[in-house]
Amino acid sequence: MIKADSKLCVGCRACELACSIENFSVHNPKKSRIRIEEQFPNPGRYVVHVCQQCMKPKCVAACPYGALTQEKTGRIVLIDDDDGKTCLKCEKKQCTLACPYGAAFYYKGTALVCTDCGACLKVCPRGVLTQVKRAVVSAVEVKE
Amino acid sequence: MVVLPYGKILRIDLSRSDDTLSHSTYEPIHEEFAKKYLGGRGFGARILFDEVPAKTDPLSPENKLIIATGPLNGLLIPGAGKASFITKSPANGGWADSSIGGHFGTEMRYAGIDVIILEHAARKPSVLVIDDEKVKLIDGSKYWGKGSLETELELKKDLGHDFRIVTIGPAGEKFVTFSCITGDYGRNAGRCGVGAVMGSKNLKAIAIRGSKDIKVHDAKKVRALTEEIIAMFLKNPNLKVWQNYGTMTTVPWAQAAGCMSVRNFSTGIFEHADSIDEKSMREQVAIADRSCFGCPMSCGKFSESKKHGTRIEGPEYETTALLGANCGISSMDDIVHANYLCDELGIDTISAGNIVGFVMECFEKGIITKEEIDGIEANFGNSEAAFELIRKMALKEGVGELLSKGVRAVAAKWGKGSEKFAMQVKNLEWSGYESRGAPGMALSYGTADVGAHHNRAWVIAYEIAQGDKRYSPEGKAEKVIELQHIRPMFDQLGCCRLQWVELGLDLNYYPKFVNAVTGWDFTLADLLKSSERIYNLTRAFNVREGFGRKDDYVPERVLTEPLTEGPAKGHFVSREVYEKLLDHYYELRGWDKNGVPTLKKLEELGLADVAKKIGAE
Repeated sequence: MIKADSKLCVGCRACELACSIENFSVHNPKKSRIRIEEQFPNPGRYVVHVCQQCMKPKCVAACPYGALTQEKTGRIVLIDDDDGKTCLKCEKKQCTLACPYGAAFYYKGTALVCTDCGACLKVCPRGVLTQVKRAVVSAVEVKE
Repeated sequence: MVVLPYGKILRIDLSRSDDTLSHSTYEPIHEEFAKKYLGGRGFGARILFDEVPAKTDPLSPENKLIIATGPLNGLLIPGAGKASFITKSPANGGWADSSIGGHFGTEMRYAGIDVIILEHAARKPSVLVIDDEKVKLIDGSKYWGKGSLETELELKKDLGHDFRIVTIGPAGEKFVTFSCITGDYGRNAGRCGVGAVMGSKNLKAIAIRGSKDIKVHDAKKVRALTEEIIAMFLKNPNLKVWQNYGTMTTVPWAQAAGCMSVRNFSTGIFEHADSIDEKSMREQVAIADRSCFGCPMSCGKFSESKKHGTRIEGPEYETTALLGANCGISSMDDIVHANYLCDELGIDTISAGNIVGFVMECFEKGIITKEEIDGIEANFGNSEAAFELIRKMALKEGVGELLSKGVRAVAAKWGKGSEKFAMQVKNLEWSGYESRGAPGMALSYGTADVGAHHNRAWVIAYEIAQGDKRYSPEGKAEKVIELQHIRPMFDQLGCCRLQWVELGLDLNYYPKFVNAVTGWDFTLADLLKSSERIYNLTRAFNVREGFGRKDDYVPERVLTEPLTEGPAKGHFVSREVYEKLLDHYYELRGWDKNGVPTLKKLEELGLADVAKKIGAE
């Protein structure tokens, strides 16, 4: 998973672009699975939102269509199979509401969750992001 | 043919608003046009020249406000987050452009728009909202009269936090000739009074949100080039310096070279420079670093004035030099607060600090009395006086009515020799470099299309590095022209220049990026030819308004008063030297003795139609 030290972030959003390029081959931060939130003027900081691969992922539990699942590695994946388990664009965007880290996103009706590809950290100029095995980070530690 | 990665031109007639702006049109950007003008300032120059006729009143509905960004903006390219505001200047009736960093231009690109042309004026105070292809005008009366920053925060609450917003403050509403357009809580298109033009269109703010893809010819190539640059930057020791201090390391550099703006440019050395340097900024006021879109340098510093309880992005060098040293103010905390006041009220920190410094010199010299300036004890170093003058000029209260017209107008009114030290060119206030020990910089200020702004050609850095040769006019006209052609290129592409200036990024990366996104086969020389075209086009715009050699002046102080201290002690740029430099500059540029581009030059640049319109020979 991607561990983020938000205190180091300066809000350039290069990570958002790298993510959209890696996963969709386009420049579009709205298709990114990592997002930078600006909190100015108070408290005057940036907060990085990216999947923390929770032990009991609330996004998976919240999906009314059973379209999200968690792999053994901890990675959350979106299922799109013939049994009808697929993101059917629920109106309330249940996964985004359920995620305690604000790290589940929606683009025009499709859920976006971090694929753990690591494209984002290669372009971060401040060393905000590192790729770690999920056991390293506890849920409490990441939530600011 | 339309070419990647360009978006569209959105043209909006604000006066015909039926709220839904259904008459707005999207115009394609054709490849031929794109190749000739590239984007940003280039597109703006051509459109303004074609669509705003000579003698148009800048504050009339007939003037247009163009927001233009470039083909690299919004892409994974270091510093590609700039947009330009282009219009006819309310300060002097000539060409005006001012660029903004942050994330606004980028959001335009994600909404599929490269250029917004705002025509006529809204019937009542309004806010323009662009949400991808949904374009509408909403009632702006509840925001009218409020500060720039306050308005941005309220609009985010009202519309959604993912909107990118630019606003004007009360100064823009009141047509102050140096009012700015502000976004991202403290980024500014600060110069040339672009805020007044927005105010004249009854437009308090523009909010934009985009969710579209920007498609490019070769995305993999763009990413590979950027990863290469970031890896290179991470090894560059200057990157850390920039991330920590931004432009503020210019304070000790300018102090050492004796070229800081001090007490209305009466000297180039500030005895309290240590109190307002990069370390003071970092230790006393900075609370966070901020980057523009896609930039690894994060020169933006978010600061707090503890004394006044205000927060703002800044101060950077220019603000510190003008609102600090130029007013004799040595408290970092007070500079942050003055910066906040300017941003919230909506005026340019450079012009504001220049004018306050001028008032202070006039006051100390007895050219004006306390009574004439509303009872303010305007001594150098009096921060409270500076705050009060800033407030008055932005709100046009009392003496502020006069101050709001710019330093040239103030000197014309007060007279008694004050014209000699009114530091301006073309009624744009001189920015933070004392230039008596740098003839090239004087020429750069004098010939800049917008007036006395350093970013057209920051030749002083080159001059100081020359040692004693800095005082010689030799080779300076050549250098000014070289830089005046490099710098528009960045504004055309929608990029910041600091990656090149400060981290030494090879300019040859830019044609590589342009080719990767468009599929063209441009060289650096091709890009620079285009920016030469732009420099001639904005010159032609000014010529058509009656500008010429008479407007390429520098203040008397630069020409006649020797510096009394510092490394450049005894130096000034004599009138004879300046006039010779100007002759040489015109000759090298292919302009006549009056500074008018020749027919031959304009034809060579593919601007024969422009030559005809200005009667070039």
